[in-house]
Amino acid sequence: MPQATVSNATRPAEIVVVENVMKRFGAFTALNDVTLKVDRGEKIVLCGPSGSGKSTLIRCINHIEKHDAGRIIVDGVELTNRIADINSVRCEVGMVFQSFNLFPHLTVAENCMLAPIKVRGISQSEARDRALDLLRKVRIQDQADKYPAQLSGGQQQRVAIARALCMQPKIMLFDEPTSALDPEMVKEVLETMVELAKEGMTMVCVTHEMGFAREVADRVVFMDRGNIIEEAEPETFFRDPRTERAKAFLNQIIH
Amino acid sequence: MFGVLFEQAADGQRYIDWLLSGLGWTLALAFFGWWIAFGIGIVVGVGRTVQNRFFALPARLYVEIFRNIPVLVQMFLWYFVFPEVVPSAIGDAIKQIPPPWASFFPALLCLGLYTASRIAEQVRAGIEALPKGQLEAANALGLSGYLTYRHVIVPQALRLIVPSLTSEVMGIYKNTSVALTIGLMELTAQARQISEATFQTFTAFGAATIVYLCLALIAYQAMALIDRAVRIPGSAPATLPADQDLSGEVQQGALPGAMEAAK
Repeated sequence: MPQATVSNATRPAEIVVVENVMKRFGAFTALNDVTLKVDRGEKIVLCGPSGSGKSTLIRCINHIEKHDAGRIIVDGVELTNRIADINSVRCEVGMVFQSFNLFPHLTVAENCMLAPIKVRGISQSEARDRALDLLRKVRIQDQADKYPAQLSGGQQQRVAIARALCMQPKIMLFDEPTSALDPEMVKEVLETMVELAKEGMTMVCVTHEMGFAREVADRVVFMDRGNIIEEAEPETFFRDPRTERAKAFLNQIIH
Repeated sequence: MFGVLFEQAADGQRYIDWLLSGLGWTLALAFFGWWIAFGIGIVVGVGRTVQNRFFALPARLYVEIFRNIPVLVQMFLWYFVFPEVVPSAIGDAIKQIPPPWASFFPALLCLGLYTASRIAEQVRAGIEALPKGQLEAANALGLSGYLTYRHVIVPQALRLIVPSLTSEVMGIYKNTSVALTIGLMELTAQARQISEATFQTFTAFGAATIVYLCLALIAYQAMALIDRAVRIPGSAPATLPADQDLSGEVQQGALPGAMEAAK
Protein backbone atom coordinates (compact mmCIF):
# COMPACT_ATOMS: atom_id res chain seq x y z
CA MET A 1 0.00 0.00 0.00
CA PRO A 2 1.42 3.37 -0.92
CA GLN A 3 1.53 5.74 2.00
CA ALA A 4 0.16 8.46 -0.19
CA THR A 5 0.55 11.72 1.61
CA VAL A 6 3.03 10.79 4.31
CA SER A 7 6.09 12.75 3.33
CA ASN A 8 7.85 13.83 6.50
CA ALA A 9 9.75 11.49 8.75
CA THR A 10 8.29 12.95 11.91
CA ARG A 11 5.50 10.88 13.30
CA PRO A 12 2.87 13.10 14.88
CA ALA A 13 1.57 12.09 18.28
CA GLU A 14 -1.97 12.12 16.95
CA ILE A 15 -3.12 9.11 14.99
CA VAL A 16 -6.47 10.64 14.15
CA VAL A 17 -7.12 14.31 13.53
CA VAL A 18 -10.67 15.42 12.90
CA GLU A 19 -10.89 19.13 12.09
CA ASN A 20 -14.06 21.16 11.70
CA VAL A 21 -15.95 18.25 10.23
CA MET A 22 -19.51 18.71 9.03
CA LYS A 23 -21.89 15.99 8.01
CA ARG A 24 -25.49 16.36 6.93
CA PHE A 25 -28.13 13.81 6.09
CA GLY A 26 -30.58 15.85 4.06
CA ALA A 27 -31.83 18.61 6.32
CA PHE A 28 -30.47 16.91 9.45
CA THR A 29 -27.06 18.03 10.66
CA ALA A 30 -25.36 14.98 12.13
CA LEU A 31 -21.99 16.61 12.77
CA ASN A 32 -21.63 20.32 13.21
CA ASP A 33 -18.04 21.56 13.14
CA VAL A 34 -16.53 18.72 15.16
CA THR A 35 -12.86 18.74 16.06
CA LEU A 36 -11.24 15.79 17.81
CA LYS A 37 -7.70 14.54 18.13
CA VAL A 38 -6.77 11.03 19.19
CA ASP A 39 -3.23 10.32 20.36
CA ARG A 40 -1.47 7.03 19.76
CA GLY A 41 -2.37 4.62 22.54
CA GLU A 42 -5.20 6.79 23.77
CA LYS A 43 -8.57 5.31 24.71
CA ILE A 44 -11.56 7.51 24.12
CA VAL A 45 -15.14 6.83 25.03
CA LEU A 46 -17.72 8.72 23.01
CA CYS A 47 -21.10 9.07 24.60
CA GLY A 48 -24.22 11.12 24.27
CA PRO A 49 -27.91 10.78 23.59
CA SER A 50 -29.09 9.03 20.47
CA GLY A 51 -28.88 11.17 17.38
CA SER A 52 -26.01 13.18 18.84
CA GLY A 53 -23.66 12.16 16.04
CA LYS A 54 -21.28 9.87 17.91
CA SER A 55 -21.74 6.92 15.54
CA THR A 56 -21.55 9.21 12.54
CA LEU A 57 -18.27 10.62 13.86
CA ILE A 58 -16.51 7.28 14.14
CA ARG A 59 -18.00 6.13 10.85
CA CYS A 60 -16.40 9.17 9.23
CA ILE A 61 -13.01 8.19 10.61
CA ASN A 62 -12.83 5.20 8.24
CA HIS A 63 -14.91 6.87 5.56
CA ILE A 64 -17.89 4.54 5.84
CA GLU A 65 -19.69 7.85 6.05
CA LYS A 66 -18.34 10.62 3.84
CA HIS A 67 -17.87 13.97 5.58
CA ASP A 68 -19.19 17.06 3.79
CA ALA A 69 -16.63 19.58 5.03
CA GLY A 70 -13.54 19.76 7.21
CA ARG A 71 -10.51 17.48 7.29
CA ILE A 72 -9.94 13.99 8.62
CA ILE A 73 -6.37 12.72 8.78
CA VAL A 74 -5.67 9.17 9.89
CA ASP A 75 -2.07 8.15 10.52
CA GLY A 76 -0.86 10.95 8.29
CA VAL A 77 -3.19 10.20 5.37
CA GLU A 78 -5.96 12.65 4.66
CA LEU A 79 -9.30 11.14 3.69
CA THR A 80 -10.37 12.60 0.39
CA ASN A 81 -12.18 10.87 -2.41
CA ARG A 82 -9.08 8.95 -3.48
CA ILE A 83 -9.98 5.28 -3.30
CA ALA A 84 -6.35 4.23 -2.74
CA ASP A 85 -6.05 6.51 0.29
CA ILE A 86 -9.36 5.37 1.69
CA ASN A 87 -8.46 1.70 1.39
CA SER A 88 -5.02 2.21 2.89
CA VAL A 89 -6.59 4.03 5.84
CA ARG A 90 -9.19 1.32 6.29
CA CYS A 91 -6.44 -1.29 6.57
CA GLU A 92 -5.07 0.54 9.58
CA VAL A 93 -8.44 1.16 11.21
CA GLY A 94 -10.35 -1.77 12.66
CA MET A 95 -14.05 -1.43 13.20
CA VAL A 96 -16.55 -3.33 15.31
CA PHE A 97 -20.24 -2.79 14.63
CA GLN A 98 -23.29 -2.92 16.84
CA SER A 99 -24.80 -5.69 14.71
CA PHE A 100 -21.52 -7.66 14.37
CA ASN A 101 -21.78 -7.83 10.55
CA LEU A 102 -19.89 -11.09 10.30
CA PHE A 103 -19.98 -12.70 6.89
CA PRO A 104 -22.53 -15.50 7.44
CA HIS A 105 -21.37 -17.67 4.53
CA LEU A 106 -17.81 -17.93 5.85
CA THR A 107 -16.61 -19.82 8.89
CA VAL A 108 -15.30 -17.94 11.89
CA ALA A 109 -11.71 -18.55 10.78
CA GLU A 110 -12.49 -17.56 7.17
CA ASN A 111 -14.08 -14.35 8.39
CA CYS A 112 -10.80 -13.53 10.06
CA MET A 113 -8.64 -14.65 7.13
CA LEU A 114 -10.41 -12.99 4.18
CA ALA A 115 -9.07 -9.46 4.40
CA PRO A 116 -5.52 -10.36 5.55
CA ILE A 117 -5.17 -12.67 2.54
CA LYS A 118 -6.89 -10.52 -0.08
CA VAL A 119 -5.85 -7.07 1.09
CA ARG A 120 -2.61 -7.57 3.03
CA GLY A 121 -1.54 -10.38 0.72
CA ILE A 122 -0.31 -12.79 3.38
CA SER A 123 -0.37 -16.54 2.78
CA GLN A 124 -3.27 -18.81 3.62
CA SER A 125 -1.35 -20.60 6.37
CA GLU A 126 -0.01 -17.42 7.90
CA ALA A 127 -3.51 -15.94 7.89
CA ARG A 128 -4.91 -19.03 9.56
CA ASP A 129 -2.23 -18.99 12.25
CA ARG A 130 -2.91 -15.34 12.89
CA ALA A 131 -6.67 -15.92 12.97
CA LEU A 132 -6.37 -18.81 15.46
CA ASP A 133 -4.02 -16.76 17.57
CA LEU A 134 -6.45 -13.90 17.85
CA LEU A 135 -9.43 -16.19 18.28
CA ARG A 136 -7.58 -17.71 21.22
CA LYS A 137 -7.08 -14.25 22.57
CA VAL A 138 -10.83 -13.59 22.50
CA ARG A 139 -11.28 -17.10 23.96
CA ILE A 140 -13.17 -18.59 21.08
CA GLN A 141 -10.56 -20.68 19.26
CA ASP A 142 -12.59 -23.91 19.57
CA GLN A 143 -15.33 -22.35 17.41
CA ALA A 144 -12.98 -21.50 14.54
CA ASP A 145 -14.62 -23.78 12.01
CA LYS A 146 -18.21 -23.01 12.90
CA TYR A 147 -20.38 -20.53 11.05
CA PRO A 148 -21.46 -17.24 12.67
CA ALA A 149 -25.12 -18.28 12.90
CA GLN A 150 -24.05 -21.19 15.13
CA LEU A 151 -22.62 -18.85 17.77
CA SER A 152 -24.20 -16.71 20.46
CA GLY A 153 -24.30 -12.94 20.12
CA GLY A 154 -21.45 -12.44 22.53
CA GLN A 155 -19.34 -14.98 20.71
CA GLN A 156 -20.14 -13.36 17.37
CA GLN A 157 -19.07 -9.97 18.63
CA ARG A 158 -15.80 -11.40 19.92
CA VAL A 159 -15.23 -12.95 16.49
CA ALA A 160 -15.87 -9.53 14.98
CA ILE A 161 -13.21 -8.07 17.27
CA ALA A 162 -10.77 -10.82 16.27
CA ARG A 163 -11.58 -10.25 12.60
CA ALA A 164 -10.73 -6.58 12.89
CA LEU A 165 -7.52 -7.35 14.84
CA CYS A 166 -6.35 -9.77 12.15
CA MET A 167 -5.62 -6.75 9.94
CA GLN A 168 -3.24 -5.57 12.68
CA PRO A 169 -4.84 -2.14 12.80
CA LYS A 170 -3.26 0.83 14.53
CA ILE A 171 -6.56 1.94 15.96
CA MET A 172 -9.84 0.24 16.75
CA LEU A 173 -13.26 1.85 16.45
CA PHE A 174 -16.19 0.38 18.37
CA ASP A 175 -19.70 1.43 17.41
CA GLU A 176 -21.93 0.48 20.37
CA PRO A 177 -20.43 -3.02 20.47
CA THR A 178 -22.60 -4.26 23.32
CA SER A 179 -25.93 -2.60 22.52
CA ALA A 180 -27.32 -5.54 20.56
CA LEU A 181 -26.32 -8.13 23.16
CA ASP A 182 -28.26 -9.88 25.86
CA PRO A 183 -27.19 -8.59 29.27
CA GLU A 184 -25.32 -11.75 30.24
CA MET A 185 -23.18 -11.49 27.11
CA VAL A 186 -22.17 -7.88 27.56
CA LYS A 187 -19.56 -8.81 30.15
CA GLU A 188 -17.62 -11.24 27.97
CA VAL A 189 -17.32 -8.65 25.20
CA LEU A 190 -16.33 -5.87 27.59
CA GLU A 191 -13.67 -8.08 29.14
CA THR A 192 -12.17 -8.62 25.72
CA MET A 193 -12.17 -4.89 25.08
CA VAL A 194 -10.58 -4.13 28.45
CA GLU A 195 -7.82 -6.61 27.70
CA LEU A 196 -7.23 -4.99 24.35
CA ALA A 197 -7.06 -1.56 25.97
CA LYS A 198 -4.55 -2.78 28.55
CA GLU A 199 -2.30 -4.01 25.76
CA GLY A 200 -2.05 -0.44 24.55
CA MET A 201 -4.38 -0.46 21.54
CA THR A 202 -5.64 2.95 20.50
CA MET A 203 -9.41 2.83 20.82
CA VAL A 204 -12.39 5.02 20.14
CA CYS A 205 -15.55 3.49 21.59
CA VAL A 206 -19.10 4.64 21.27
CA THR A 207 -20.66 3.03 24.32
CA HIS A 208 -22.96 3.64 27.24
CA GLU A 209 -21.07 1.17 29.40
CA MET A 210 -19.90 3.62 32.02
CA GLY A 211 -18.07 0.95 34.01
CA PHE A 212 -15.96 0.30 30.95
CA ALA A 213 -15.37 4.02 30.45
CA ARG A 214 -14.21 4.37 34.07
CA GLU A 215 -11.88 1.41 33.82
CA VAL A 216 -10.06 2.11 30.56
CA ALA A 217 -10.86 5.51 29.09
CA ASP A 218 -8.27 8.27 29.11
CA ARG A 219 -10.92 10.70 28.04
CA VAL A 220 -14.69 10.78 27.81
CA VAL A 221 -16.09 12.84 24.97
CA PHE A 222 -19.70 13.88 25.33
CA MET A 223 -21.66 14.81 22.23
CA ASP A 224 -25.02 16.43 21.76
CA ARG A 225 -26.77 17.46 18.55
CA GLY A 226 -23.73 17.08 16.38
CA ASN A 227 -21.34 18.93 18.67
CA ILE A 228 -18.73 17.87 21.18
CA ILE A 229 -19.85 19.77 24.24
CA GLU A 230 -17.70 18.27 26.95
CA GLU A 231 -14.37 16.43 27.17
CA ALA A 232 -12.89 15.24 30.42
CA GLU A 233 -11.16 12.40 32.25
CA PRO A 234 -13.75 9.80 33.20
CA GLU A 235 -13.60 10.44 36.94
CA THR A 236 -14.11 14.16 36.48
CA PHE A 237 -16.81 13.66 33.89
CA PHE A 238 -18.86 11.25 35.95
CA ARG A 239 -18.41 13.00 39.28
CA ASP A 240 -18.75 16.53 38.12
CA PRO A 241 -20.04 17.11 34.60
CA ARG A 242 -19.84 20.75 33.60
CA THR A 243 -22.81 21.02 31.26
CA GLU A 244 -26.46 20.61 32.17
CA ARG A 245 -26.93 18.39 29.14
CA ALA A 246 -24.30 15.93 30.35
CA LYS A 247 -25.78 15.94 33.86
CA ALA A 248 -29.22 15.10 32.51
CA PHE A 249 -27.74 12.40 30.30
CA LEU A 250 -25.80 10.79 33.14
CA ASN A 251 -28.86 10.84 35.35
CA GLN A 252 -30.79 8.96 32.71
CA ILE A 253 -28.31 6.23 31.97
CA ILE A 254 -27.20 5.49 35.49
CA HIS A 255 -30.68 4.29 36.37
CA MET B 1 -50.47 -46.32 -27.03
CA PHE B 2 -46.86 -45.34 -27.56
CA GLY B 3 -46.18 -48.49 -29.61
CA VAL B 4 -45.95 -46.46 -32.78
CA LEU B 5 -42.81 -44.80 -31.47
CA PHE B 6 -40.95 -48.07 -31.81
CA GLU B 7 -41.89 -48.57 -35.45
CA GLN B 8 -39.37 -47.89 -38.14
CA ALA B 9 -39.49 -44.55 -39.91
CA ALA B 10 -38.73 -43.90 -43.55
CA ASP B 11 -35.07 -43.11 -42.80
CA GLY B 12 -34.48 -46.50 -41.17
CA GLN B 13 -34.47 -45.16 -37.60
CA ARG B 14 -37.28 -45.70 -35.15
CA TYR B 15 -39.49 -42.74 -34.24
CA ILE B 16 -38.27 -42.92 -30.67
CA ASP B 17 -34.77 -42.23 -31.98
CA TRP B 18 -36.08 -39.03 -33.55
CA LEU B 19 -37.52 -38.06 -30.21
CA LEU B 20 -34.27 -38.84 -28.39
CA SER B 21 -32.26 -36.87 -30.92
CA GLY B 22 -34.65 -33.96 -30.33
CA LEU B 23 -34.19 -34.35 -26.58
CA GLY B 24 -30.43 -34.19 -27.11
CA TRP B 25 -30.68 -30.82 -28.87
CA THR B 26 -33.09 -29.52 -26.27
CA LEU B 27 -30.76 -30.48 -23.45
CA ALA B 28 -27.67 -29.15 -25.21
CA LEU B 29 -29.38 -25.84 -25.89
CA ALA B 30 -30.70 -25.51 -22.33
CA PHE B 31 -27.43 -26.60 -20.69
CA PHE B 32 -25.00 -24.40 -22.60
CA GLY B 33 -27.52 -21.57 -22.77
CA TRP B 34 -27.83 -21.70 -18.99
CA TRP B 35 -24.13 -21.21 -18.39
CA ILE B 36 -24.02 -18.27 -20.80
CA ALA B 37 -27.08 -16.82 -19.06
CA PHE B 38 -25.70 -17.42 -15.57
CA GLY B 39 -22.34 -15.84 -16.33
CA ILE B 40 -23.72 -12.77 -18.06
CA GLY B 41 -26.60 -12.56 -15.59
CA ILE B 42 -24.25 -12.25 -12.62
CA VAL B 43 -22.11 -9.60 -14.30
CA VAL B 44 -25.10 -7.56 -15.44
CA GLY B 45 -26.92 -8.03 -12.13
CA VAL B 46 -23.88 -6.73 -10.26
CA GLY B 47 -23.68 -3.86 -12.75
CA ARG B 48 -27.24 -2.91 -11.87
CA THR B 49 -26.24 -2.36 -8.23
CA VAL B 50 -22.99 -0.40 -8.50
CA GLN B 51 -22.78 3.36 -8.07
CA ASN B 52 -20.57 3.83 -11.11
CA ARG B 53 -22.77 4.93 -14.03
CA PHE B 54 -20.23 3.62 -16.49
CA PHE B 55 -21.33 0.12 -15.42
CA ALA B 56 -24.84 0.75 -14.19
CA LEU B 57 -26.18 2.34 -17.37
CA PRO B 58 -25.14 -0.37 -19.86
CA ALA B 59 -26.40 -3.00 -17.40
CA ARG B 60 -29.77 -1.29 -17.21
CA LEU B 61 -29.91 -0.98 -20.97
CA TYR B 62 -29.07 -4.65 -21.39
CA VAL B 63 -31.87 -5.76 -19.10
CA GLU B 64 -34.45 -3.46 -20.65
CA ILE B 65 -33.64 -4.58 -24.18
CA PHE B 66 -33.34 -8.32 -23.72
CA ARG B 67 -36.13 -8.74 -21.21
CA ASN B 68 -38.70 -6.76 -23.13
CA ILE B 69 -38.45 -8.27 -26.61
CA PRO B 70 -40.40 -11.53 -27.09
CA VAL B 71 -38.17 -14.61 -27.30
CA LEU B 72 -39.60 -15.50 -30.69
CA VAL B 73 -38.69 -12.10 -32.11
CA GLN B 74 -35.20 -12.34 -30.61
CA MET B 75 -34.83 -15.76 -32.20
CA PHE B 76 -35.67 -14.30 -35.62
CA LEU B 77 -33.40 -11.33 -35.05
CA TRP B 78 -30.38 -13.54 -34.37
CA TYR B 79 -31.16 -15.95 -37.18
CA PHE B 80 -32.39 -13.71 -40.01
CA VAL B 81 -31.33 -10.16 -39.19
CA PHE B 82 -28.00 -10.49 -37.43
CA PRO B 83 -26.11 -11.95 -40.46
CA GLU B 84 -27.39 -9.05 -42.57
CA VAL B 85 -26.37 -6.20 -40.26
CA VAL B 86 -22.79 -7.32 -39.56
CA PRO B 87 -20.07 -6.62 -42.16
CA SER B 88 -20.78 -8.79 -45.18
CA ALA B 89 -17.64 -10.91 -44.79
CA ILE B 90 -18.78 -12.02 -41.35
CA GLY B 91 -22.38 -12.32 -42.48
CA ASP B 92 -21.35 -14.60 -45.36
CA ALA B 93 -19.26 -16.71 -43.00
CA ILE B 94 -22.27 -17.12 -40.71
CA LYS B 95 -24.40 -18.20 -43.66
CA GLN B 96 -21.81 -20.86 -44.54
CA ILE B 97 -22.33 -22.68 -41.23
CA PRO B 98 -23.75 -26.17 -41.99
CA PRO B 99 -27.38 -26.98 -41.08
CA PRO B 100 -27.84 -28.06 -37.48
CA TRP B 101 -25.27 -25.57 -36.22
CA ALA B 102 -26.64 -22.74 -38.33
CA SER B 103 -29.79 -22.93 -36.19
CA PHE B 104 -28.15 -24.06 -32.98
CA PHE B 105 -25.80 -21.13 -32.48
CA PRO B 106 -28.36 -18.36 -33.03
CA ALA B 107 -30.76 -20.23 -30.73
CA LEU B 108 -28.05 -20.62 -28.10
CA LEU B 109 -27.17 -16.95 -28.29
CA CYS B 110 -30.82 -15.92 -28.17
CA LEU B 111 -31.77 -18.04 -25.15
CA GLY B 112 -28.53 -17.32 -23.31
CA LEU B 113 -28.81 -13.56 -23.67
CA TYR B 114 -32.54 -13.46 -22.99
CA THR B 115 -32.32 -15.61 -19.86
CA ALA B 116 -29.30 -13.59 -18.71
CA SER B 117 -31.46 -10.48 -18.52
CA ARG B 118 -33.92 -12.30 -16.27
CA ILE B 119 -31.17 -13.76 -14.07
CA ALA B 120 -29.61 -10.31 -13.82
CA GLU B 121 -32.77 -8.99 -12.22
CA GLN B 122 -32.82 -11.88 -9.75
CA VAL B 123 -29.18 -11.25 -8.87
CA ARG B 124 -29.93 -7.57 -8.36
CA ALA B 125 -32.85 -8.41 -6.08
CA GLY B 126 -30.63 -10.80 -4.12
CA ILE B 127 -27.92 -8.17 -3.70
CA GLU B 128 -30.40 -5.52 -2.63
CA ALA B 129 -31.89 -7.88 -0.05
CA LEU B 130 -28.58 -8.21 1.83
CA PRO B 131 -28.18 -6.17 5.03
CA LYS B 132 -26.22 -2.95 4.47
CA GLY B 133 -23.87 -3.95 7.26
CA GLN B 134 -22.26 -6.58 5.03
CA LEU B 135 -21.02 -3.95 2.62
CA GLU B 136 -19.92 -1.71 5.48
CA ALA B 137 -18.02 -4.49 7.20
CA ALA B 138 -16.24 -5.38 3.96
CA ASN B 139 -15.41 -1.71 3.37
CA ALA B 140 -14.16 -1.33 6.92
CA LEU B 141 -11.74 -4.22 6.37
CA GLY B 142 -10.25 -2.42 3.38
CA LEU B 143 -11.65 -4.78 0.74
CA SER B 144 -11.92 -3.12 -2.66
CA GLY B 145 -15.22 -2.94 -4.50
CA TYR B 146 -14.31 -5.95 -6.63
CA LEU B 147 -13.18 -8.05 -3.68
CA THR B 148 -16.30 -7.11 -1.74
CA TYR B 149 -18.57 -8.30 -4.53
CA ARG B 150 -16.46 -11.35 -5.26
CA HIS B 151 -16.14 -12.67 -1.70
CA VAL B 152 -18.93 -11.09 0.33
CA ILE B 153 -21.88 -9.83 -1.71
CA VAL B 154 -22.29 -12.20 -4.66
CA PRO B 155 -21.82 -15.49 -2.75
CA GLN B 156 -24.57 -14.47 -0.34
CA ALA B 157 -26.88 -13.07 -3.01
CA LEU B 158 -26.65 -16.24 -5.10
CA ARG B 159 -27.56 -18.41 -2.12
CA LEU B 160 -30.55 -16.21 -1.52
CA ILE B 161 -31.90 -16.56 -5.05
CA VAL B 162 -31.48 -20.31 -5.60
CA PRO B 163 -35.24 -20.92 -5.19
CA SER B 164 -36.17 -18.23 -7.69
CA LEU B 165 -33.45 -19.36 -10.10
CA THR B 166 -35.33 -22.64 -10.30
CA SER B 167 -37.95 -20.97 -12.45
CA GLU B 168 -35.24 -19.57 -14.71
CA VAL B 169 -33.87 -23.08 -15.22
CA MET B 170 -37.37 -24.21 -16.11
CA GLY B 171 -37.78 -21.17 -18.31
CA ILE B 172 -34.72 -21.70 -20.44
CA TYR B 173 -35.41 -25.33 -21.22
CA LYS B 174 -39.05 -24.65 -22.05
CA ASN B 175 -38.03 -21.77 -24.29
CA THR B 176 -35.76 -24.11 -26.26
CA SER B 177 -38.93 -25.16 -28.09
CA VAL B 178 -38.97 -21.74 -29.77
CA ALA B 179 -35.83 -22.81 -31.64
CA LEU B 180 -37.99 -24.99 -33.92
CA THR B 181 -39.05 -21.78 -35.67
CA ILE B 182 -35.53 -21.33 -37.00
CA GLY B 183 -35.24 -24.97 -38.00
CA LEU B 184 -33.52 -26.63 -35.06
CA MET B 185 -34.81 -30.20 -34.75
CA GLU B 186 -35.25 -30.15 -31.01
CA LEU B 187 -37.85 -32.08 -29.02
CA THR B 188 -40.96 -30.20 -30.14
CA ALA B 189 -39.84 -30.13 -33.75
CA GLN B 190 -39.24 -33.88 -33.69
CA ALA B 191 -42.64 -34.46 -32.11
CA ARG B 192 -44.23 -32.48 -34.90
CA GLN B 193 -42.27 -34.44 -37.49
CA ILE B 194 -43.40 -37.75 -35.96
CA SER B 195 -46.95 -36.51 -35.93
CA GLU B 196 -46.74 -35.63 -39.61
CA ALA B 197 -45.16 -38.93 -40.56
CA THR B 198 -47.48 -41.18 -38.57
CA PHE B 199 -50.65 -39.05 -38.20
CA GLN B 200 -50.55 -40.08 -34.52
CA THR B 201 -50.74 -36.51 -33.22
CA PHE B 202 -51.77 -37.46 -29.71
CA THR B 203 -48.99 -40.01 -29.30
CA ALA B 204 -46.30 -37.75 -30.70
CA PHE B 205 -47.09 -34.71 -28.61
CA GLY B 206 -48.10 -36.83 -25.62
CA ALA B 207 -44.62 -38.35 -25.59
CA ALA B 208 -43.02 -34.91 -25.88
CA THR B 209 -45.18 -33.63 -23.04
CA ILE B 210 -44.12 -36.46 -20.76
CA VAL B 211 -40.47 -35.82 -21.56
CA TYR B 212 -40.85 -32.11 -20.79
CA LEU B 213 -42.60 -32.90 -17.51
CA CYS B 214 -39.86 -35.32 -16.48
CA LEU B 215 -37.26 -32.66 -17.24
CA ALA B 216 -39.20 -30.24 -15.03
CA LEU B 217 -39.19 -32.68 -12.14
CA ILE B 218 -35.49 -33.32 -12.52
CA ALA B 219 -34.76 -29.60 -12.63
CA TYR B 220 -36.81 -28.97 -9.48
CA GLN B 221 -35.08 -31.75 -7.61
CA ALA B 222 -31.64 -30.68 -8.76
CA MET B 223 -32.24 -27.11 -7.66
CA ALA B 224 -33.59 -28.30 -4.30
CA LEU B 225 -30.40 -30.32 -3.84
CA ILE B 226 -28.28 -27.33 -4.74
CA ASP B 227 -30.25 -25.15 -2.35
CA ARG B 228 -29.57 -27.62 0.42
CA ALA B 229 -25.92 -28.02 -0.47
CA VAL B 230 -25.13 -24.32 -0.41
CA ARG B 231 -27.24 -23.44 2.61
CA ILE B 232 -25.24 -21.73 5.31
CA PRO B 233 -24.96 -23.95 8.41
CA GLY B 234 -26.88 -22.56 11.35
CA SER B 235 -29.13 -20.40 9.22
CA ALA B 236 -32.84 -21.17 9.08
CA PRO B 237 -34.30 -22.31 5.75
CA ALA B 238 -35.50 -19.12 4.11
CA THR B 239 -38.95 -20.35 3.16
CA LEU B 240 -39.85 -22.43 6.20
CA PRO B 241 -40.79 -21.26 9.68
CA ALA B 242 -38.17 -22.33 12.19
CA ASP B 243 -40.48 -24.55 14.23
CA GLN B 244 -41.21 -26.80 11.26
CA ASP B 245 -37.86 -28.52 11.57
CA LEU B 246 -37.86 -31.31 9.02
CA SER B 247 -35.37 -33.55 10.82
CA GLY B 248 -32.74 -30.87 10.43
CA GLU B 249 -31.46 -32.10 7.11
CA VAL B 250 -34.38 -32.33 4.71
CA GLN B 251 -35.14 -28.88 3.44
CA GLN B 252 -38.00 -28.94 1.05
CA GLY B 253 -38.77 -25.30 1.52
CA ALA B 254 -37.33 -24.45 -1.87
CA LEU B 255 -40.05 -26.41 -3.64
CA PRO B 256 -43.32 -24.70 -4.45
CA GLY B 257 -46.40 -26.12 -2.80
CA ALA B 258 -47.55 -28.02 -5.87
CA MET B 259 -44.32 -29.95 -5.99
CA GLU B 260 -44.54 -30.76 -2.30
CA ALA B 261 -47.95 -32.25 -2.88
CA ALA B 262 -46.72 -34.28 -5.83
CA LYS B 263 -44.07 -36.08 -3.81
